[in-house]
Amino acid sequence: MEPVVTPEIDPARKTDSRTDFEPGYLVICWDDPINLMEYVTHVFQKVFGWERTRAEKHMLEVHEKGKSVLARESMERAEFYVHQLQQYNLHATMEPTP
Amino acid sequence: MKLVKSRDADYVFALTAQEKDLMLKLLGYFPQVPAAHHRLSKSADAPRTRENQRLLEESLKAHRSQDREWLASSFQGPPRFEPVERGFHLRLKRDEMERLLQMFNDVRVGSWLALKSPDLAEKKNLKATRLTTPFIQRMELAGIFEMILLRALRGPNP
Repeated sequence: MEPVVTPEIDPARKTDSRTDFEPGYLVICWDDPINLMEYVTHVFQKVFGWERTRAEKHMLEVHEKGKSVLARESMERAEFYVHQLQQYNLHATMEPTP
Repeated sequence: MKLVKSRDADYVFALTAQEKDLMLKLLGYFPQVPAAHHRLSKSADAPRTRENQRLLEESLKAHRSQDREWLASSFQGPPRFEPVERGFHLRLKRDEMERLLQMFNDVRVGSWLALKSPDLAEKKNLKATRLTTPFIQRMELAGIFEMILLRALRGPNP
């Protein structure tokens, strides 16, 4: 008879229904009074490869509503975008989807 | 400083000697924004927050260190600044303009932080004193250089 092998379970390892690969994070740009509107539009175009009209729409949303959700991504991709936006000194964060 | 020629990814700007000095002096303040200024997330629920925050700060520091090296090694003097009759011609590639844009904006944001992040819509929040004037000047001048670069990158067709 073959021995029965059971998987080892590490009780210290937490599991989360939100894995690194699920698009469970929002990339958000927040308003600030210092970054120029033209600059913010340019950065959105550069980082996300957007057309100018789409970049302007998000820039205006940041300016008028205080924030804009730029993308919904996996944790890794969201971190990548936040790093890119912060290299340009935009006020950007990643937040778990509600 | 104004754009005199652009072809594909190559740009040529004309500057007076004063503008060149001003540009180099401003860039000499880079970096101004502390890496710890940026937060990866506002939420305490984000996983591995502390570790990821540390990685973010290391990445930003490394990026700025590379920019400073580039500035010191290949930005000052000829052939970057070519003497012409009324000043200099500054030759830049498109990716170098992106780099300069980030650096000028760092000086702008860093100067604003040094002024304790005033709301710029209210002019009364920005009082010029012996202590604040240098930061106000850097902030405004960096913004002017940014706009020149942005207009050149955007091209003649708005």
